[in-house]
Amino acid sequence: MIDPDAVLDARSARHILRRTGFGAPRNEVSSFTGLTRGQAADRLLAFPNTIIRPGGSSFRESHNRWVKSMVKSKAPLQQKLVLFWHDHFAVGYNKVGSVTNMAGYVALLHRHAKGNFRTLLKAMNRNAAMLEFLDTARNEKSQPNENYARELLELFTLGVHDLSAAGLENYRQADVVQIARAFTGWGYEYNSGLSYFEEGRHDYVEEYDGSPNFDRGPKVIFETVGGFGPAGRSFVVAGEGAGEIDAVIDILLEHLDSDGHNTTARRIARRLCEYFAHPEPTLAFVDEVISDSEFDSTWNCSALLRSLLVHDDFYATAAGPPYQSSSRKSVRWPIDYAVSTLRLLKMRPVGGSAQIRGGSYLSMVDHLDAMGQLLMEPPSVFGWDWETGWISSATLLARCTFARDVVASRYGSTRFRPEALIDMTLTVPGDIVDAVLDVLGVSDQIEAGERQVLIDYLSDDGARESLDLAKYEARQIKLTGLFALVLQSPAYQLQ
Amino acid sequence: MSMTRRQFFARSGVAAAGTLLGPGLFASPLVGQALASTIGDRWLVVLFLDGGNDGLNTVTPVSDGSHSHRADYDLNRGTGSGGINLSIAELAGTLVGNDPSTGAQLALHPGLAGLKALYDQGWLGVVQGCGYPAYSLSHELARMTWQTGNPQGESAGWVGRHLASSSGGYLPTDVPGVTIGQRVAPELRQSATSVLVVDQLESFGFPYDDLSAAAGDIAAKRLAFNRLYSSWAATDLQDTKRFLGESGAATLASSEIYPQLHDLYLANRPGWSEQYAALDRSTARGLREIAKIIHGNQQGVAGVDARFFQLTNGGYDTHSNQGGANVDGQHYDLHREVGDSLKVFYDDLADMGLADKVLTLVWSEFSRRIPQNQSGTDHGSQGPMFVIGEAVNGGIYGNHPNLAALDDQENTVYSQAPGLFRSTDFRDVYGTILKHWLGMSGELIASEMLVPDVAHPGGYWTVPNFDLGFLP
Amino acid sequence: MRMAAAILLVLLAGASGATTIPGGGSSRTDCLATFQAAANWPASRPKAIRCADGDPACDGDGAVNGSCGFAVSVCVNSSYNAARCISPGVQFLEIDHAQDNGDPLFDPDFQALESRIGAQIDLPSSTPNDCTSAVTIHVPLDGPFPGSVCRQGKKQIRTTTLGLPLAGRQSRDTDKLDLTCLPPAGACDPTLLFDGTFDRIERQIFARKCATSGCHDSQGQAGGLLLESGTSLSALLDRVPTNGAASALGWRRVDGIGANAESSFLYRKLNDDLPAPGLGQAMPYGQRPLDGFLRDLVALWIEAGAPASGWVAGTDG
Repeated sequence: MIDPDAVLDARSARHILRRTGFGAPRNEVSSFTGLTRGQAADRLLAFPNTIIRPGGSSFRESHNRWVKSMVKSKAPLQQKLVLFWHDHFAVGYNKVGSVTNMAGYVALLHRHAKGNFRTLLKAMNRNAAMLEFLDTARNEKSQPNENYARELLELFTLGVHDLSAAGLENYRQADVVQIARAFTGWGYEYNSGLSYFEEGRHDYVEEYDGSPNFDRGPKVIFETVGGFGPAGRSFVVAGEGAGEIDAVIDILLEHLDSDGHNTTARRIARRLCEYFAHPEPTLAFVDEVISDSEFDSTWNCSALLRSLLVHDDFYATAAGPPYQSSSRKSVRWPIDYAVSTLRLLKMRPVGGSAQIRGGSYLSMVDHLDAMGQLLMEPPSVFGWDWETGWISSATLLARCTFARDVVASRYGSTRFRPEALIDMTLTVPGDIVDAVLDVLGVSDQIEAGERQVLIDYLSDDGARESLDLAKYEARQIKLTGLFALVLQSPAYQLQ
Repeated sequence: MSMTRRQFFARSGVAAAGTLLGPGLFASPLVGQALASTIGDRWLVVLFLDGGNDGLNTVTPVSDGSHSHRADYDLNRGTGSGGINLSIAELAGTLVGNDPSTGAQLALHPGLAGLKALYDQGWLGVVQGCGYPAYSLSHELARMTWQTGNPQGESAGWVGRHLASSSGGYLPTDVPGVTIGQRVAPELRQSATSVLVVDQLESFGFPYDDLSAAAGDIAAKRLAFNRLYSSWAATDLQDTKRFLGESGAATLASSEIYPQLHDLYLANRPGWSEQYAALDRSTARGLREIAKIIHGNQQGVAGVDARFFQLTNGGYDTHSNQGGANVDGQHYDLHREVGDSLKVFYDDLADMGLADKVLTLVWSEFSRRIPQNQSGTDHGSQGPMFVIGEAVNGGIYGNHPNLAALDDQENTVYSQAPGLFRSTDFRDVYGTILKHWLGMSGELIASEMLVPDVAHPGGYWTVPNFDLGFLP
Repeated sequence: MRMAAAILLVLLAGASGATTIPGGGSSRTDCLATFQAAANWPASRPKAIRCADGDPACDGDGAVNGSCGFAVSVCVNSSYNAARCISPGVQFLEIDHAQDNGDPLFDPDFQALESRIGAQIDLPSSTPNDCTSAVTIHVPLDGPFPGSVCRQGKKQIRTTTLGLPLAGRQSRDTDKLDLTCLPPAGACDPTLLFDGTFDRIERQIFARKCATSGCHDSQGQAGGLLLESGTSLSALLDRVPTNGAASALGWRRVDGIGANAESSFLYRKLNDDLPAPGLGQAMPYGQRPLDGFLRDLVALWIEAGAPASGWVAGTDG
């Protein structure tokens, strides 16, 4: 249930910080502890819409620039939302073929990250990278291409089936065909990324050139589904081009499912609940968040997110051990894993190639590729496979390699400096373990048995009762090893 | 109503990793032996020729047959400076069989002498004219189509879907697939079981810090890592935790077992190792890593049960400097590398007594255009695939494309229409392997693995044929 | 990283007369990667190639054909200047503009060279003097311009090489090799350089301005139009444009039947003569317009019925 006045304890503070940002840094945990859920949500959502446009002369440069901007971002929630939308509106560089146009797409996600979903959809309709990726740029009346229309319905808005218990179809193939007609005629300038509408390629409701071949009649959609009645909805709009594709969005956002709920609102809210809260949110959770925020009429993502962040179900996943099957755990995305680690350790990737200068000396782009999440290159239009989809022997070893490389970074101003993170006068193994867990923001996720494993490691199974961290071996081997171990531990792989 | 892609996803088990697990299946911190997979005691190797291999200079007509294959070839492929024409004399040493429909004599590129030897042993199946309708000439899109086995786009690979399917029957603790290279091959991608990425077994292993190694701290670190993950694997209440725990323990075990396979192979088969090394090429080195794993598997090394391998050889995007039969040419160089490496690999396997247990599939994302440009060729349509192994019914399958009737882009026409030049859909090749090598039923393959095109009857792939004949 | 085992070391000497070109940068890291090529300029310490088209001493094809072919190979862990530079081994080597990913400066010859590196060096490598075989880099002359004049053509190969980390440091070597093709002595006669008018259009206009990465090449095929040599004529001649506005006007991509440049979308696009809405952008896309004589050349060719071969009057100068 919605409870904005509940007060955050340290556990809940860590939880909300991990989910809405990159890890839970100690100082933030202490400043959030004692706030009400509402106060915390408002503080997190107050960020200005900083626009990141990661251009460059190559994909690698662009990718690294974006990663570096995340490492230093003052608004991690904005970045988390941008990543959500990047997965939702999946677009891949290899097909788009232009760093500039991909950068424009990333900038668009930044601009609308917490804004109005209707506005975001309308802007996405005309984004150069999207026009290329889903073939709108090749969609013309003589050669209709249904790619964008299909994904608009299936992935960006309605979904194939509604969320009612019956799970009925939300649209039919005929609706895809009609919507594809509305999107004919669009193109974009390769260099500037500006979109334009060419009347000559558009499939009009009324005949354009006198040739009967092109007269496909009026565009009518949702005659059988969507709660519009047997007449469906038609595209009689003031002007074709921008007016018409905007009208398509407006109609989609009126579509009701077989429960009489707004179909798109439910789907987007559910996706956000999956992303921020846990993999299998209940329908009641989704509906309560929508009705509290009025997302189905305002389409205000910020309001939706605030309702989500003050809901009991969001905090249920923060429950500590012993875990139940209901305490849904969620796997950190690779980008979250890498960026959180650098932020918590106060480190930065170095130079234009964004290198981690330790171990294998790889660039961030190569680390992330090995972990299974090359940004701007999702595996398909469906985006990435979340949760256990992130985990394989190969990707887990890549995470372990990243952790090793980070703590092995021993030179230069960006090196790993444990003395800047924890109190180096600590001597009791248990205290040192607690300090490291605190720095890495996972104190609440570690069970007593796991804590004991870490203590056993540090103390060599109790062989030493205290450590002098001023000494080389205790500092460079044991303490550094402890940091690596926690970063490689299963608890740290969860968000 | 046809199945939607989302339903396809859910039904193929790709999204259902957690449900494959049951409590108590994880018995030991070592990798569990795979449940009975339909691959049985066999192995599958997939070799990708990245960049678009020129099929016409891979399987080349030497005579016209009942059509005009050789004449058309000569018309399009130039001689002289930069010319890539393979003359009849240059092809004399690598003749293979005849085109099934026109009877034209065919030959392999002279660089493929290694494959020619395998052909003469009856171990090579050449499948001509492989492609798919409305083919893409973009490397990325074409690659994705072949790797997933679905032109509609799909994030799991075609081999991956087999691993995740009920026939695969693998757990997160199993490591049935290994990619030789830097990252998981898209063919193997799925989220139900683990895939390993190995560049060199010798240097493979858990990434310990070099300082810990020097200080003798590795054993303590390893113990702690294993205890952390094993404690999660023992959890039976929370699916995600258990999956992570099992994966982590399996990963650690593999990272320790796999490097031993290098030592084992070197100790048992030093002469064979030298044969690969003498070729000094990455394909040979990659196949040697696979041979090491297969050898270890044969020797019964506990915890090793990888049976699906993928490796890639790049450089086939020969827009320029392609070369014909001259040994300095880029294409000759690549062909020699692949042919010689595969020959050593199969000689090695035969010596192990396993040549009939290992099937290798060679593919490329597209072929190249028939007419050549100044010194190379641009992206083109259908091309040949190779299937290799003692179990293969050696010979020529599929028809040579018609070089006399080209489409708008000067490419051979992909068509499933019956006749002398009927193309082979690459999904029929995959399907034949899934059915005859991996033991899946044709119905299961057509409903869940390789779903026929429904939208466009006619020239499209609507009637699968998973019995192409190259496997018994 | 282990040293390569005692395996057969294949040392491929590049073209005859090839010398080692360190390529610039700190002498302490200059041996990470080097070029092997027949450098001839400047005369005192040659580090670049300057060659007149057809000069058998340096142009690999030895023919006056509008392009010089330079044999270039790349080596890593060179023993060049071993007194000052010892390579720690090479982890990574990249050639600029070698990826066909929409980069307007993409060059398939650079891609071929990078492919050779991938195939023959197999990074990371600690093998001393680990070299590729030679790849021919084609450097076309600029032109010909009216009056049978050509200007020199240039390409620069640029590589970035990273060493294997050693004691926590990673060394880096960036190298450049300039290749210049000079006009042959005397006139630069189009009838010697090209087979005919259309060959000239394909090679002087389409190949350089249109069939580039991400545009009308086999990867990009913008507007469904492929202008690579060998395919462009069938894609153009009397074809209905995919642009609906142009087809509605009755235009063809190239109106060969009507032998009319004005009703040829190709010429309209090149001439930026696009009066109706929906006809799209002028070509070449995002670049300055073609020189007037090249546009005239296209018009003359179309008005002669767009022949596949032979010289149309007025296009051979």
